[in-house]
Amino acid sequence: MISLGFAIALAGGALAAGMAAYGSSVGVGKAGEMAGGVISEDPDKFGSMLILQALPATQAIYGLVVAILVLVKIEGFSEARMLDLPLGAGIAIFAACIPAMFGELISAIWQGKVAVSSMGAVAKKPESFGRAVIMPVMVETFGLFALIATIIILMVVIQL
Amino acid sequence: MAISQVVRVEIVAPKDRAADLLGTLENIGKLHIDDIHDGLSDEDRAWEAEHRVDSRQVDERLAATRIVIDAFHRFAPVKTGLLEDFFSSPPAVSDEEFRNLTGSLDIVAYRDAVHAQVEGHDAVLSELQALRERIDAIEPWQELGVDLADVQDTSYATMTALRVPSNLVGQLSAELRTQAADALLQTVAKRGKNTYAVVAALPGSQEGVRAALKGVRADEVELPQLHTSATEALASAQSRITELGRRRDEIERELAAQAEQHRRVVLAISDDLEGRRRVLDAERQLFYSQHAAVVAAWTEVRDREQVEQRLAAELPDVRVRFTDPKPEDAPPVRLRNRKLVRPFETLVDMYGMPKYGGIDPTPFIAVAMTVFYAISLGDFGYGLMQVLLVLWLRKRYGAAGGTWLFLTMFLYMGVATLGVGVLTWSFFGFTPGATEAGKFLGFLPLINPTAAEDIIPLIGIAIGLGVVFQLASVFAGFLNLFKRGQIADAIFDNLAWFLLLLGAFAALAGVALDIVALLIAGAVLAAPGLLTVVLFSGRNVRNIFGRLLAGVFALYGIIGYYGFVGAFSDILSYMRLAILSMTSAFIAFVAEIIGNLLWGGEGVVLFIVGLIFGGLVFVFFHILNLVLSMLGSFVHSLRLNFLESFQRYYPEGGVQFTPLRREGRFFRFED
Repeated sequence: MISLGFAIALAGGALAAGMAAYGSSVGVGKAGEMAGGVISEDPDKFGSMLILQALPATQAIYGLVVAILVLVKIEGFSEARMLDLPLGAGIAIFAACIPAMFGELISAIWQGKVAVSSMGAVAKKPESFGRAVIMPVMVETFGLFALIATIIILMVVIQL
Repeated sequence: MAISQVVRVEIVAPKDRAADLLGTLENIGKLHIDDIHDGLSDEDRAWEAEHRVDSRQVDERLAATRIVIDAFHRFAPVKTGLLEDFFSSPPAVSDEEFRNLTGSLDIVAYRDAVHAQVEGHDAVLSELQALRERIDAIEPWQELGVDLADVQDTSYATMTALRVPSNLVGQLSAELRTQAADALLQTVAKRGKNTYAVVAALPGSQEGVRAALKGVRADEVELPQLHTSATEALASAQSRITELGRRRDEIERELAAQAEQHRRVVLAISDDLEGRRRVLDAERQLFYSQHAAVVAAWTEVRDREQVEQRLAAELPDVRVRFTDPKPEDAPPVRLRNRKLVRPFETLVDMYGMPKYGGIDPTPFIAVAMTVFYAISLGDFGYGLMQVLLVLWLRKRYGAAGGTWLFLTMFLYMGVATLGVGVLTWSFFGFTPGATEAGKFLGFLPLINPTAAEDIIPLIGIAIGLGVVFQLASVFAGFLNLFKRGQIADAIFDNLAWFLLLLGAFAALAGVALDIVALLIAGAVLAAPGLLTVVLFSGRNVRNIFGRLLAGVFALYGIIGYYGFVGAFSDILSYMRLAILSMTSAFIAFVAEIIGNLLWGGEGVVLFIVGLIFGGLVFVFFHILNLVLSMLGSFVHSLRLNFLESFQRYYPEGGVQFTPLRREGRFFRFED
C-alpha cells in the first residue's frame, strides 16, 4: 500500500521534471523559430544558432536530476522503498521541489526569449556571438540557484 | 598542434600589371591579402592615385548565370537525397577541363535565349490559368440552352444570375414570392453544394429581388460575356487548353534538355565568375600610386620559399619583401594540426579563430568533444553503428574537404563510444554475460547507466569531469595569455583562479573524504589564489578601497575573469553528460524489453509473428534512439565545449587565414 506521503513526494519529483521539461520545450521552441529565420537568410550561422537554441534545454536536465534525487531520497530505486512515508515527510519533499519546479520552468522560458534577442544580435553582427551568449546564460543562473535550493533542502535539511 | 607562423608579404608591381599580379597570386593560392587602406594615415592616403575597378561586366555575367541556373533548377531539378545534400562534395575538375567548360558558351547570349523560352512558357501558363478560370465561370451555365449574351436586362425585364446554397433554394423561392411577386426563378445547374440560377423580374421588382437574395445569402454572379452558347465556348476553350498544354510540354522538354546539355558548363562559368569577382575585390584592397600597385599580404612561413620562387619566375618585374609580424599587427590565423586532431578544426572554424600568437584550442576540443560525446552516447552497438555509417557515407558520397573532416570527427567519436560501450558493457541495451547476481568477468559493466545504484556515481563522474575540464580550461587560458605576452592578465586572472579553484576543490574533497592533509593542502593552494583575486582583479581601479571592493565582487563573478557562481554553474552543467548517457541507455533498455515481450510466443505462427514484429519494434526504437542520441550528444558536447570551457581560455577571436585562390561552389579544383 502506497502512503499519501510517498505519493506526494513522488508528485514533487514528477512535477519538477515535467515543469522543467515544459519550460525547456517552450524556450527551445521560441529560440528555434528565430534560428530558422536567421538560417534561412544566412545558413553559415547554423553553428552559433545551434548553441543559442540549445541553451534553454539545460533546465529540463536539472528537472530530471531533481526527480532522480527525490527517488534516491525515498529509496525509490531499491526494494526497501519508503512506501509508508509519513505525510509530513512527503509534503516536505514536495516543498523542497518547489524552487526547482518554478525556477526551471520560468528561467527556461525567459532564457528562450533572451536567446531570441541574442540571435537577432548575432544575425546583425556575427562577431558579437561571444557577448550575445552571455545574456541568456545569465538567466540560467537563477535556474541553477533554484536547483541548488532544492538539492540543499532535499538532501541536507530533510532528514527522513 | 599550432597556429601556423606567418610572414608579412609586401609586393610592388607596375600599376598596369596589377591584374596579372593578382591572377598569379590566385594561382599560387598561398597569400591572404589585407586591405591596405585599413589603418592608413591621411598623409599616406594623400599619395594614392585614383584607380577604378570596374566589376560591372563580371556582375552582369554572374547575374546571367544565376538566371540560367534558376531556370535549369525549375525545369530540370537535380534530385538529391537528404544524406547526399549533406555529405556529398562538389566534383573535382582539372584546370584543362575547367578551361574547356568555361570557354564553350557565351553566357549573356545564352541567358537571353533561355529567358525568352521561360517567358514564353510563363505566358502559356498565364493563358492556361485564365482559360481554366473562364471554364469554371461558364461551365455551370451550359445547361441554360441559350447564348449567354441574350441573358441580359431589357426595358421590360431584369435578369439576375445567382449562386445559392442548394439547401436554401426553396427558401429563396419563398422569399421571392414575398418580396417580388412577379419574379421567376429558373435553376440551371447544381455544382457541389451550390445551385446556379437566373431570376427574371419586372424592372420595378429589382429591389425586392435583391432583398430576397440577401435574405438567403445568395450571391449575384456576373455572367461571362459570350456571343455563343456556353457549350460552344467550353469546347473552344478546351481545344485551346489542349493546344497550350502541348506547347507548354514542348517548352519544358526543350528547357530540360538544355539543362542536361549545358548545366555543367553554366555551373563552371558561375564558379569562374565568382573567382573573378574575388580577384576584383582584392584589386580594390591594393594601394595605387601614379605608377605602381602595392599588395599587403600574409603567407605561411612554410610557403615563403615557394611564393618567392613563383613570383620571381612568373613576374620578374615585381619587387617582394617579407617581414615578420610586428606586435601591433593582427596576422590571420591558419591552424595546422596533426592528422588525428585535424577533423576537430571544423568546430574551431565554426566558432571563430583564436588570436595569432595564442594557443590553438583544437587538441583541447578534440579531447573534450570525444570524451563528452562518448560518455553521452555510451553504447558499443551505437558506437559501432556510427563508425559503419560514417565509413559508408564517406565512401558513398565521395566526401572531401570540410565534409570529410566532419565525418572523420564523427568516426573518432564513434570509436571512443566503442570504448565507453565496453566499460558500460552495453550492446544495444543488452548486457551480455552480466546478471543481477554478478558482472561479466567480475567487473563489467564498470558503471551501468540503467542501474539505480549507479545513477548517483554516474552524476558524480560527470561533475568530476566538469571539475577537471574547467580547471584545464582556466589553465589553458593562462598559457594562452602568457604566450601572447599578457603576463599580468595571465597571472592575476587565470593563474589566480586556477589556484583558488584547485585549492577549493581539494579542500572540499578533503572534507568529504575526511582527509585532513588534503584539506590543508587545498587551503594552502587556495589562499594565494584568493588573495590575488581580491587584490588584483580590480587592478585598473586607482582607489585602494575601490580596488578591494572590485576584488570582492570578482569572487562572486560580477566583474573580472571568473567567479564562484560561474564556476559552480559551469561544473554542474556537466551533469548533462550523465543525463544523456542515462537517456540513451534507458531507451535502449526499453527497446530490449519490448522486443523481449514480443519474441518467443508459443506455437510456430506466434513465434514467427512475434519474431517479425518484435524485430521491427526493436530496430525502430534503436534507430530512433541512435539518431536522437547522436544529435543530443553532439549538441550538448558542443555546448559544454563552447559555453562552459571555450570562454575560459579563448576570450578574443582572430582573423581566419583565407588565401586568394581558386575555389568553387560547384567544382573542386585539383591541387
